[in-house]
Amino acid sequence: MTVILVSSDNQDFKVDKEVAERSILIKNMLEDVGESDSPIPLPNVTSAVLTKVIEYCEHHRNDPVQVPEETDDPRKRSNDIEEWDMKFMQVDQEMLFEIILAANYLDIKPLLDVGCKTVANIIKGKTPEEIRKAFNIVNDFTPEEEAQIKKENEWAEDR
Amino acid sequence: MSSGQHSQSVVDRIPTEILLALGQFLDGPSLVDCLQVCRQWHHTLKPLVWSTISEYQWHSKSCPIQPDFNPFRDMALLPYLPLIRQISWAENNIIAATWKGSKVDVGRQLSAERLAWLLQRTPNLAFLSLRRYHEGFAPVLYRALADLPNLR
Repeated sequence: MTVILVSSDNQDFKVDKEVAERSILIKNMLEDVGESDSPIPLPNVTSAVLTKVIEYCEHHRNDPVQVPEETDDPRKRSNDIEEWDMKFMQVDQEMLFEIILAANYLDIKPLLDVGCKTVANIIKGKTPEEIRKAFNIVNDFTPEEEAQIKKENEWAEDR
Repeated sequence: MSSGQHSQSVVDRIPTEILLALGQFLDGPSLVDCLQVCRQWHHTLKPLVWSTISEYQWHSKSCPIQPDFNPFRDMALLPYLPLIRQISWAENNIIAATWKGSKVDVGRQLSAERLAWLLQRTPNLAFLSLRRYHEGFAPVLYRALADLPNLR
């Protein structure tokens, strides 16, 4: 069985139901609607991004449902990305964040995680200034605030 | 028609919830660097730095809570301790194994006095995990269980 997804720029994507249901949003929609072949509009996702997202879902169509790990440390590791996912995430930064936004909107937790891990790996080891540069972020602190924050975080300097 | 405005960077459209999801994958030192990036990152990520104190988060010497007393350092910590909800103190077993060859502070051990000091200053602590237990901890832990309403 297939479903039709419609991107924000009005392109139709015909995908297997099983693939589309990697998105919890779509899965819930399909359950609510029942048997129907009316197309599903995704007004927040462009065709370029949807193409990538579907590629991911196709590759991971048979993955078992993720169960949250029982751990006493909620901090998660970012160095365990599988090779295929790593290659898949080799896109320009604009696309990387678009994929993360789409994964969040479509509720595809494993894709959101891989996206966040990729960004986390870019951040690690960089100074605040290097992080701003890497992501084109404007420093909106006043000089006073900046000095204050630096002072607040002095404890974290290696001593 | 052009509005003459710069196109908004995609990073500027990152909602708080995604920034928080991202923060879960950052260790302590990276989080502290992120606090200094911009206002949004600062406000969003600050609670994450303090909500959980664990050796995994702080795999280097810069862990905010050190096993030894240090009046100067401890003074700076005081305002943040009420933010802590979880502490996992695993000693350095895991780290020593992963970082073979590089020098790691292995002998670090939390004393009962230090634990008592800490627990008296973390009123919102809800989860405490100590991998290595020694007898001196028992009275400290009994007291903590009585004093900390959220601790499980």
